[in-house]
Amino acid sequence: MIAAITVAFITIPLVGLLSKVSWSTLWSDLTSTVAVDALGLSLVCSMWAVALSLLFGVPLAWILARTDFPGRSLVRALATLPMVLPPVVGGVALLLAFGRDGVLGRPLFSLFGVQLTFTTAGAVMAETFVAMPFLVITVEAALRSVHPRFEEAASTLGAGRWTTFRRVTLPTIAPSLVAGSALTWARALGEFGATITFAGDIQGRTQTLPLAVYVALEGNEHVAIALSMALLAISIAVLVALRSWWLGAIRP
Amino acid sequence: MSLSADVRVTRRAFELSVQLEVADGEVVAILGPNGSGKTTLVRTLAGLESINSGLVTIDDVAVDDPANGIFVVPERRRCAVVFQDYALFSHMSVVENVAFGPRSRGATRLESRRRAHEWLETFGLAARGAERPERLSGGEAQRVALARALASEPRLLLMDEPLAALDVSARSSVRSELRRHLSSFDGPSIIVTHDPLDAAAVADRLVIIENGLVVQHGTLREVTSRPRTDYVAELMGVNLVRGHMDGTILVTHDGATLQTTHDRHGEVFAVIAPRDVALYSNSPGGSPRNAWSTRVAHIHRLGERVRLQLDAPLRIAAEITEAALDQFALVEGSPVWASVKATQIDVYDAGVRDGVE
Repeated sequence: MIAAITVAFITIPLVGLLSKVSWSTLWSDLTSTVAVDALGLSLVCSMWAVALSLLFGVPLAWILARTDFPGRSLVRALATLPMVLPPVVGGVALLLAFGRDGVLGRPLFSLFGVQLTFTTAGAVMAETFVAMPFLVITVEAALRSVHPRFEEAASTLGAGRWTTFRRVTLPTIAPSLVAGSALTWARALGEFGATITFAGDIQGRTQTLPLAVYVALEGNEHVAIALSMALLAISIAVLVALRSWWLGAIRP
Repeated sequence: MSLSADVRVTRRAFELSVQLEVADGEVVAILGPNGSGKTTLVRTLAGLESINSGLVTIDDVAVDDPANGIFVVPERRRCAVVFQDYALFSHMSVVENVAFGPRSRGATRLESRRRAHEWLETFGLAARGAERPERLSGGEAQRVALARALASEPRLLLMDEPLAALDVSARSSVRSELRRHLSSFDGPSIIVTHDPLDAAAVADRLVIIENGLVVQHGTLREVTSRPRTDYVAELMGVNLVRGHMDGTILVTHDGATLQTTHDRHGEVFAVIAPRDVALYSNSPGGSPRNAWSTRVAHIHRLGERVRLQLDAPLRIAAEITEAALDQFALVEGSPVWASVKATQIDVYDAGVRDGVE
């Protein structure tokens, strides 16, 4: 009974969304300038967020999984904090650190003329900040499950640290790397609070899909619904892909 | 001497202190009960762990010398390890596994694959090169692990229980093959095992470790005929009796007396083979002078042979056939007479630890 209520609670809003879709204008709604700008920007930003998360998150995950240093659990807590932190707080924090008057933002601007707020780079930063923990957690768990014996075997065969990591560790955790990237990407794609707080809402520059949906709801409901449909479709695609990937990884 | 090791390691309450020399082409088996420090020894020699004090040299070059701040990392030490579970890389084919060593040491992709194919051919695995490791049988995986180790052109070969993961049927054939393949390696080899049959089949020399110390070493024959600890005696399947002699009579520490054909003075070890212990239902009388009345403490069946652990005064094992057991109708607790001929008791000094430096 309770389960039925739960299922209804999840499905009814989706049905509501579907019932309001104006199918005749769906295509023109999706190809309107606002929508195309938002779609393109969201793709670019979320891809960047995944790339940056891989670049910085994998080494962090390796250190958390493979080394022992004082304060490691503190570092792990910090690395996962953005998962539980309200995104808008993350946005405020980014603003205070990297904004024009921020601790780092001020010297960055006065010395190099670099401004992050209200730029696409800022949107990427906000998405990375919020989404990276998903990658770190997934990859760290995968690294922990790989027995160090394989890395030890590689080293006794003459492979240095980098060769061992590239040829033994990475391929072993590849499924988790893909899964972690997909989760990170999905989270980055849906990021709202931190992005609007830190990067603002400028069409074509920082107005990602969720922001465009929120703004369009105010007068251009068709477009909002069409964009929501696009996000829903992407979410379902990620879910299906991950599911089949995980099943594929289990059944060789 | 090609490997010379004085390994001293302290890990919490455990201390390992082992001195070991292995010549080129020589195969030394390290035997010891679980927790004796065998695996730690292998890991320090490979450079996976460092020693606290002592000195490890390979071909007269120091690879771990804490006093002089020298520690050569595993990838530069050229000590290949065959791990107990083989640790084959499951995302690579068999040939890629074997090519991993040469490739890591700087050979080109093509050259490493060529060498890997050569090794696989030597090991009779030429047809299996494209397989994934999980498709191999236990014996094949063991050979691939050894081929991979040798293909990296090590100066020292270490094997940690290389036969433990095999089932009984595969074990004996792999054992004799291992001996053959090891003879083609001209550097020093060390094989860690807890099975004396593995050691007997593969190794030239045995080193026995207990509680982090070498308790005995020598050829298989030397160790079998002169065990110095209960573990070694049990490993070799013989009874070890400690006692004191003043002439030809041995008085055991438990107070039993035995007539021997040796004339000694002082603390001694005596070895009695279980099959030399004769059992009777009544006092045998007559010629054997070492006869005593006792009880059967435990019965342990080993196929068609049966091992009976005897109770006081002399707690040794006797081995009889299954048929004899039925004939005597012996059960645990049965009274029985035991006897040993004086000529079948081998005695040697307990004071001089021959074979141990």
